[in-house]
Amino acid sequence: MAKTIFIIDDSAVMLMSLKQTLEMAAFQVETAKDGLEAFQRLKSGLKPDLIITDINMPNMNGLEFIKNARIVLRFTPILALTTESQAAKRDEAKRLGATGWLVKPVAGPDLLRVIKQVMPGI
Amino acid sequence: MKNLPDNCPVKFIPDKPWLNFSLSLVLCGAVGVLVWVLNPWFVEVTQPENRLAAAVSIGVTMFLVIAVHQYLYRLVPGIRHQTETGTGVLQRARQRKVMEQLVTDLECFPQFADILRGQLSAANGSTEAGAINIMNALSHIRPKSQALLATLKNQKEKAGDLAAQAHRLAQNAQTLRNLSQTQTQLTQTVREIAKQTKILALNAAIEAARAGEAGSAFAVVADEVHKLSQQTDATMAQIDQAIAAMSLSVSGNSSMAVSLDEMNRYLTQIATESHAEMDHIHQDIIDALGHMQFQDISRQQIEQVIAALEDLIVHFAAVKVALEGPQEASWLPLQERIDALRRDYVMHRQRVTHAAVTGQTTTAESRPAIELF
Repeated sequence: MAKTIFIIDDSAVMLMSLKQTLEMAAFQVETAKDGLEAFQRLKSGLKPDLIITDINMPNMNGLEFIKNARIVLRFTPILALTTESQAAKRDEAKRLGATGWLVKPVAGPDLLRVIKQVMPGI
Repeated sequence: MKNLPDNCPVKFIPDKPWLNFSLSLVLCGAVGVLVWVLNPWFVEVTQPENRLAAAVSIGVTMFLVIAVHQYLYRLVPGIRHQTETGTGVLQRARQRKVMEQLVTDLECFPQFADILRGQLSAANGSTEAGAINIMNALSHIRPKSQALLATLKNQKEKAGDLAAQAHRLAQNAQTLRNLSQTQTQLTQTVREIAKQTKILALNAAIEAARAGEAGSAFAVVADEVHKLSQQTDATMAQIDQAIAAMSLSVSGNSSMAVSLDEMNRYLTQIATESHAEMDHIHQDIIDALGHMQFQDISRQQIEQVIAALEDLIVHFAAVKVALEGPQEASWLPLQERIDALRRDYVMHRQRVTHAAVTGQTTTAESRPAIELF
């Protein structure tokens, strides 16, 4: 059965780009346009095998989302994929339970390589 | 007349000559009336013994005239205009015109900024639509490439199956060829037996003739044996023909199997190479999708420029209000807004661009673009 990856980004282009890339690599993909929507989906029972989230988003930003998501999913790997390069925010994400930090743009093969590193069983 | 703040560096000088003239007349008239009222007292004090009193009274009168003039000067700019002459007046007039023009420009600035903001938003929308269109095109190519990849994989497997079948066919042909050789050897043996039988039958017929009456029955048997050997000969000839035909057929099948084997090797090679090429196309599509992230980066940069424009609108609106009203200047200095811009950056490249303009230093990124905790 295909592994599920949950992508959260307020950019339609990013969602489309990542969804197609991951589907080509035989993953099942779910998307949300901000942290609030994503957290509601998790509370509704969505159990992804991996989460990839943007940081600077409206309604609920990525750091808040990571903090909330960790309450619901303690062991699911969470990758931050963002343009944000401030070390302080990176450290904050690490403290809140993020698994890794990727600064955009990230090439498709690099992203797939990181996913294989952090996702168990593939 | 517009009220200006006291700390405004440009003094306001109205350009109203008729008002200036009228007020000057009023002022002169007031002095004349004062002199007329005090005339008897002036006559009295012009006596030598009242010179001191006269001097004092004239001084007081002049003081009153100057005080009234100063009072009117403060209240009515027309008088001030009358008292100021030369380049100072012209300069202030020019400054006033500049100020009026500046206020008019400030009124237009929000519209100007809105146009820029609209254009930038439209540019953002265009790049987003363009990126989505490209990805839609890629999304159409993607299933086709995947289907083609699957077909090629299937064809490669089929070509392999066909090659295995051809190999088995060649093996069967070889087995048949071996069998036909064995059969040829067997028919040769049978033909030898028939030949011996024929000789035996001939000898038996000779012996039967020599035996006379007693050997007549034996002669019949010898004759039947002879006929049997002849039939065997004929049958062997037919079997030889059948074996020859079969050998020819087997030989043809064997050649066909070799041809099939070669063809399948060729098809397998094509399928393998095509599969590899399709795999490259697949990877290229993934790369192209990754490059689409440029739009998200440029979108965020443009959005920050739009936000800065909105800040400028607020800034100049505050400047305009301060220029028009009596209150103290209270807008946020532009330098603070520039510093705020720097704090709001999210990308290293934004900080680098800012530093290149302001001359500030920016630290190089020490953390890798991909970091696993």
